[in-house]
Amino acid sequence: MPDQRVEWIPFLNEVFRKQGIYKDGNGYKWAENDSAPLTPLSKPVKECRIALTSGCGARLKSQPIWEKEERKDPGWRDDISFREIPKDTKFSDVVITAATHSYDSEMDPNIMIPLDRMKEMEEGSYFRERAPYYFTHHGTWRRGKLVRETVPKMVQRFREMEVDAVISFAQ
Amino acid sequence: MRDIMEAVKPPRALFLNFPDGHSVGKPFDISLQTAIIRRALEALETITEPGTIIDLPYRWSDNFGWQVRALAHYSCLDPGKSEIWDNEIIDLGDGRVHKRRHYKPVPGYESYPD
Repeated sequence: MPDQRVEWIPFLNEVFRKQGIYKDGNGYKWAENDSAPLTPLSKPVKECRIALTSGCGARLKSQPIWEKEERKDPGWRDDISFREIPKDTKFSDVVITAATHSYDSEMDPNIMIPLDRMKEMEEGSYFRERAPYYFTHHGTWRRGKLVRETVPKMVQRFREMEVDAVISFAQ
Repeated sequence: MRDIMEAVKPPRALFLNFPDGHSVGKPFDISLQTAIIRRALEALETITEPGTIIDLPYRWSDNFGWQVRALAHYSCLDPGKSEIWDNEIIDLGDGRVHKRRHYKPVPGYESYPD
């Protein structure tokens, strides 16, 4: 059977229209880029320090909660902060708060933030080493603020950790 | 979400046609999870054309009923309900339960520059 995909943009546009969110008729302004910045790797992957980001909303139990998390308010989608998860963190010390957190990720959080897999792959020399911290955040609609405020902070931390490449997992 | 990916145009991307929240594969499927990450590592070297999207060959199941459920989840057929559309309680055994909330997909920003 050939692969079958959902066309999410027209579907969600229709959902928003039915919900009356955009009464002016302009609809949600999806990010549409004409080009993409690509920096070639300066060395083979096997010699790289790899960082990881995930939109799973994971945080250590000891870290500050996400905005409005305590009230179980879906407004935490507006929280554009990120958390730093040490690479050898155990899942028993982690809370995942993404809206897409499910029974499956409750059973095996590696499907959202692959802490165990990355450790195994480092030991298997798929790459030189893991970055000391992974970054987690919430997927958000506030992309303007995300680009202006959050991403520069992440980039600064990647540079401090001397990261060669980043793999980002959307959720 | 491939159409969203095409619009955003990240430098390098892999598309996995799995349900939301399963971007690294299926629970406890170590070989699949490892294969997905390995494909991402390979793409760091092999993708040279900006905006390239590689479609991963892995299938969630033999049918696409999960997509129907995903559409229903986001459809929120009753706009009169609160943002927390529904709560699904799953008994994990051992006295543990997992509560999954189904939300309306309401964008949070108020102005385009935001």
